[in-house]
This record gives sequence, structure tokens and C-alpha cells, in this order.
Amino acid sequence: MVEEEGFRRYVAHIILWIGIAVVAFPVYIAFVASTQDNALIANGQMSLLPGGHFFEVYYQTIFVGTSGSTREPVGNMMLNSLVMALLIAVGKIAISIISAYAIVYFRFPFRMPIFWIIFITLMLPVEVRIYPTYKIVADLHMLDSYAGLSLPLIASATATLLFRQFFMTCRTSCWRPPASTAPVPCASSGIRCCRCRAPTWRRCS
Amino acid sequence: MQKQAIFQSRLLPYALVAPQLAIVLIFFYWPALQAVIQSFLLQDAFGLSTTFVWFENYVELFKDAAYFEAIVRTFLFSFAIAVSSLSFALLLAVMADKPLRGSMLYRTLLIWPYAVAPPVVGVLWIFMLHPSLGVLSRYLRNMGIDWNPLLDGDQAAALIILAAAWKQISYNFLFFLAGLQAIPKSVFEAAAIDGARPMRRFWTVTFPLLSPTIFFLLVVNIVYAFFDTFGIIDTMTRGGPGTSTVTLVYKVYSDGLLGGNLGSSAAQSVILMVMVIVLTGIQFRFVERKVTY
Repeated sequence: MVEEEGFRRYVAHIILWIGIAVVAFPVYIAFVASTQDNALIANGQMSLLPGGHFFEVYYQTIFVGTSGSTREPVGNMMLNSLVMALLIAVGKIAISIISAYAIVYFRFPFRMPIFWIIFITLMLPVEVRIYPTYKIVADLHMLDSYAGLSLPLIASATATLLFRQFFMTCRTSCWRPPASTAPVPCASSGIRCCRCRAPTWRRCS
Repeated sequence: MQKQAIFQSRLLPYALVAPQLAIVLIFFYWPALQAVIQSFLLQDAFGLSTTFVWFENYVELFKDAAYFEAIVRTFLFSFAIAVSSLSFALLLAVMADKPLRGSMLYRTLLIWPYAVAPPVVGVLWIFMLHPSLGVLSRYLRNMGIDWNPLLDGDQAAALIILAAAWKQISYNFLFFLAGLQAIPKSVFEAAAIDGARPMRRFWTVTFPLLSPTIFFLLVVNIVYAFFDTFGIIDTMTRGGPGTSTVTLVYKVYSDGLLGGNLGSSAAQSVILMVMVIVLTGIQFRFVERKVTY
């Protein structure tokens, strides 16, 4: 490695610490604000050091809800978010792993058109089609349900694309069967063979 | 796609793609189609009657000065966000790539804000720069700067750009660091032996070798600035003061859901969709070209 002179090393350290300060300061301020009295923040008199209201504020927001309004406690919202995130993650992985598998390991009519139909969804973020999507969910009577919240977000091609790429890097030699045996299309064979080191075909159980 | 076909089955592949196809058709193509149809319709204020007006919504849009301003504003925002965030992240990545004591600590501390979501970014920056709540606003006013992004459109725009660029620093840093570490150290040593000073080494060796990463990040950042800044704008300024922070995506939302002008909102969605497709197309062309070099 090229040697760095002493002076330049110090400059690098200083720049990195400035960078860390820039990146961390907003989050730090939010934390400080969360430990202070409401009135103090509203006055713009907030200090830069944490105050003494830590437990009070966090207990209030997580379990009770904002006082003076009908806002739900954050604990409930966190639970909702968790359920939604898990549904989306599991749903996305489940449907895209099998569709990517089909697209890579089978030859069937309309294979490429189907791939493109899925691929194009990458190009239009939810923000742009938010209103029509809302309308569809309403038409399907899925408002106010976890299904209505998560299904529109499962309709994305990112996972399919990544799984397709992964399957394509798998060693084809693993699949080459002995002359007598017919290849068996089962999902477990795909996953196991991707891991196999020896260029031999293994029968999937 | 060049992979050998391994398995023969007539119905199984269709069964495997069916679930995703169903979801994509119902929750992507159906709404997208509705947006396209809606963009050709004109609805009265009470939603009682609709008439088919061909391209009137589009024509109205392009005649509308406010829409034109939103386009220019969106591009300016995207450019400012991408350039400021990328250059700061690149500077940090080049520094963190040096063999310094504690460089692992630096890297960790610079990466973690990646997890902060856009609307939260808005709230964080409100705590710092809101005219009456903000911690930093006090100091700005003490310095004699008349800081009030709730009244001053330029300041509001600067605030959005700062917050949006801040959010992308970690992401860009991560990719730049990976890109830098992929460059073989021997080329730097060769340049150093030839007598190139650090600045010159950066511009003639590092920067060109990093160009695929830079280009990839440029496109990602522009798309981010187009769409993901919605959350930041909505929590910080709601497009105001006036319309000085209304971007194209925010206009789709405010015209459609708040203003009730569904036809125009749908037409804007369609235009945005075309823009994203063009951007993605450009990205793919360039990335393909870079891969072969």
C-alpha cells in the first residue's frame, strides 16, 4: 500500500469525524428531544444535552398514546408495522422464489413475455400509482385489513430478479443426470445442488 | 437466460409463476391501466359525470405554467441532491478506504443511518431547522440570518435538498467503499512510483476506475430524488410555502387526493411512468456498455 504522510493522515481523521458528526447529529438531536419536556421544545429552548424525561416520554408514547389527542399508542403501531413487514417479506419471497425458479429452469411458451410482465413492475414505484392502487384495494373491499396493506407491496419484481440471478449462477453440472435417470423438478433439488461442490448430480429426496 | 432447460413439464411452470402473475396483474397492471384510462377522462367536481376528453388533460398540463415549474424544480432538486450527496459520500469513502487506525469504527459509524426512513428524515430535520422549534435555527438567527423556511421558498427548497441528500450519504458511502476496495492496490502503487501525487492519483486512477459505481449511484440517486423525497416533503413543508417545494410526485398526490382533479393526476402519473422507463432504459444501456469494457 502507498504510504501516507503524517499530515494527510490527520486530515483524513478530521474529515471522517466531521462526516460522522454530520451523519449522526440529526439522530442525536431527535434522541435529545425525546428526553425533554414538551413545553421546552415548543419554546425552541431545547438544550443539546439529554434531559430527565426519558422514561416518562417513552412510556407515554409506547403504551398510552399522545395526550390531548386520539392518537394510538406507538406500541400498537409498531405491532401493525411488524405484522405488515413480515407479511410482505414472506409473501414476496414465497411467490418470487417459485416464479424465478420456473423462469430459469423450465422452457415453456410465453416464458419471456411473462418475465417482462413481471420485470416492468420495477419501473413504477408505489408513490406514483398510489391513487389507483388505493381505489383497487377499496373495490376489492380490502381497506382496513392486513391483506389490503401488504398485497399491493408484494407486487414487486426486485426479489424475482435477484432469485433469477442467483439461480442462473448455480452450477448446471449439478443437474446433469446419469443417463438412465430422468431429471426431477423439485424445489429442494435446486437449493441443494446450488450448494454442492462436486460436479455430480444428486438425486433429490 | 442462456441456461440449459433442465426440467420438462407442461403445467408446473405455469403453476409456479401463477401466484406472482396474479398479484402483479391485480395490484400493478389493473391500477396502471385505470390510471391511463382515467387520464383520458374529465370528471365534474362532485364525481357525478365523467366525459371522455382524449388528450385534454395532457394538453392542459403542458399549458399549465405550474406544471412546467414543477418539472424544472424536480430536475433541479434531483441534480442538487445527487451531486451534493455523491460528492460528500465519495470524499468520506476515499478517506475511510485509507489504512487508518480505527477505520472499521469509522465505517460502522458512517453506515448506520442508512436505516432511517424518508418521513423520519423529515421529522429529524424539523427538530434542527424548524424556525421556532429548531435547535440550529437559533444559532442561524443569532448569526444574523433571517432563517424561516415556512415563509421563504428558497430556504424551504434548500432544507428539502439538505435533508434528502443527508439520507443518501450512508447508501452512497457503502457503494463507494465497496467500489474502492475492488480496485487493485497495485495500480495506486504503480502511479505512486511514477511520482503521481495523491490528488493526481485520485483524478487519474481512482475516479476513472470508479466510474461504473459513480454512474450506477447517479441513476439510483436521481430516481430516489424523484420518488422517495415524497415522504420528506410531506413531513417537512407539504409543498409549501406556496408551491416552492412541490415536485412532480408531490403534485400527483396533491392534485389527485387533495385537489380532487383525478384526470390531471392520472395524466401526471402516466407522464412520470414514461420518465422512469426512459431513465431505467438509459441506465441499462450504459451499464451494459460498462460491463464489457
